[in-house]
Amino acid sequence: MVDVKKITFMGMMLAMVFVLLLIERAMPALPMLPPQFSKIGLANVIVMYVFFFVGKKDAFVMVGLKALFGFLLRGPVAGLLSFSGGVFSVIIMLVLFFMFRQRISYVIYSVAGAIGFNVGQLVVACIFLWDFRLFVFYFPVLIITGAVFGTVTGMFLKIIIPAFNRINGG
Amino acid sequence: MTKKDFIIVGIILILGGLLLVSRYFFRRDDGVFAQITCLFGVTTFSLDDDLIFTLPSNENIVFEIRDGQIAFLESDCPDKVCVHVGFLRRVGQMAVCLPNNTVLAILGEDADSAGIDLFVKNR
Repeated sequence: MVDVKKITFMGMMLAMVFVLLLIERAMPALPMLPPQFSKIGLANVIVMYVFFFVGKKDAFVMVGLKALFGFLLRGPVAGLLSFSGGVFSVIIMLVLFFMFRQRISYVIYSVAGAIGFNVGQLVVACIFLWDFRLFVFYFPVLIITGAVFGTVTGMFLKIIIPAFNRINGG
Repeated sequence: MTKKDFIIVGIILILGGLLLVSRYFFRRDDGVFAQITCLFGVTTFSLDDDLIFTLPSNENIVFEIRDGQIAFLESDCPDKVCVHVGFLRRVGQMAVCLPNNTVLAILGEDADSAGIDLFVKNR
């Protein structure tokens, strides 16, 4: 049975992902940080919403579609990095979900997801270049930016949940 | 945010900060060699001689060695992450151009300076 409502909702969520990606591209890079680390990851808020309120599989679908958009817009390398980061972040959140369920807050899920995203990207970049010194070099920065931006997106998620639930549930 | 969230995020930040600080604390030596890894292999340059050059694998990537520092001067990649890194001088510092499959790393005195010699083009 095709769930039209769900497909429509996922389509809307995907449109939101695109808009947030474009907004984020238009934002200036934060000073003091290399540009590749100064992305807040606003679009991941949508992925997290889908993860918690639509379905775990659908979160993977959303990550794949987001990566496809990155591939079309910024090329194969960006697409691959977006895909690996996204998949890894959802896997991390899934592991936490099975371990803790409701005992940890959205902010912690978000921080874990953000760090997971960074680590997933970095691992694939290291494999791609076959140079694992990169992992050691970038790891501390990725942990810190993941924690900071993960907190920001987690708070953002908390704000949008009631509004999205009205659309999703109504 | 609850108190628990603050504590967990705080611990992660402190751990990351310690990793970052410890690295800058222990490895402050100026680099002696620049190692460039690209599709054609690995090559090592002395940082003593000022030079502007390109690689045979991609002539659109331009490196500059100046005053014991090295940087990606130009690149044809879309994001320009490698160029934004700027000049590197300390042992252990790295810059990457992922779309062009090129890694730049700063090595100390103990590095194997022989490496594989690549034909490079002066600019």
